[in-house]
Amino acid sequence: MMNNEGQISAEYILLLIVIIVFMISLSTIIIDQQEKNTILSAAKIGSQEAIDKNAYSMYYNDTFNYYQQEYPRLLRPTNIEIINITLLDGNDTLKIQTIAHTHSQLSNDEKYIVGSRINYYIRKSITETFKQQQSDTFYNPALSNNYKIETEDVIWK
Amino acid sequence: MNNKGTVSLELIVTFMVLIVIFSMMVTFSLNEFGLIDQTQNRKEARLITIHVSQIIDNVYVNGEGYSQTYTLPEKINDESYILYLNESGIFLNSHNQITMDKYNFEVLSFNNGKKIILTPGNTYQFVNNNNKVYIYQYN
Repeated sequence: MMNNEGQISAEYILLLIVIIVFMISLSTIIIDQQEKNTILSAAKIGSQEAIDKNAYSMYYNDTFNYYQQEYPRLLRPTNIEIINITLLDGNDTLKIQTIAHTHSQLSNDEKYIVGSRINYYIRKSITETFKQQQSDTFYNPALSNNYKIETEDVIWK
Repeated sequence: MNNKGTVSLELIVTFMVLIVIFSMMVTFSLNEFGLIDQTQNRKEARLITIHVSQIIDNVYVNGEGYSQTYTLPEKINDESYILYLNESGIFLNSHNQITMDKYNFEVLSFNNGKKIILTPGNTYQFVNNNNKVYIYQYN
């Protein structure tokens, strides 16, 4: 690799250049994949917080009063299971699709409200994980280092 | 590290990878701790409302003269709270959030009022008097 006069061979330099170029291109892919993995993990934690809130049905005062008037069913504990959270690829905007299931008898409006809460906590968790500025009151869209993340309506199965 | 005090490239790369992994783990751990803390608030709040509701039912079904005491916890997850009962249900307000539980309000005597407020840390006696449940402060 190195001769007695302190010189290294041209082959070795070439090999080193190839390795460096390969490493740089590989690291871009790895960093991108790692960011997407982090987004999904943060989404999972966020969805857990949302279903936890519904499981204990403890809400902030305004929400509580609204539910008491319009959706009293939501003041009782609701069992929700997250079946799947998928990240749908895009150029600079990613979309998250959540599939959930509930054994509780909920109307379509109630499911929409519960689904919106799941999506809200997913976006909140992602924004906070990446320590980004809140984009609006509802964290819509959520922000990671390089992406905007939007949430699709939850699909109930 | 060799005798000349230099470390190998592999060691530096491994060290950098470990730092990246640990920094990710710290972020997720902090999120999880926050989540666990919130869950604890909600769980304790709901348990108290369920407990009071069960005591009222229990005192009622055990009939005339039966009584049961219950001491409300001082705090929920290090914060104070307000517990009150009216004809709509048992409400607990803590950490700027409210939870409620339904109960059989027709068996409860409101002492001519519309609302009964129970204070954290106090012991209350639930007494069945003439098939109505009365709540008295015990201490």
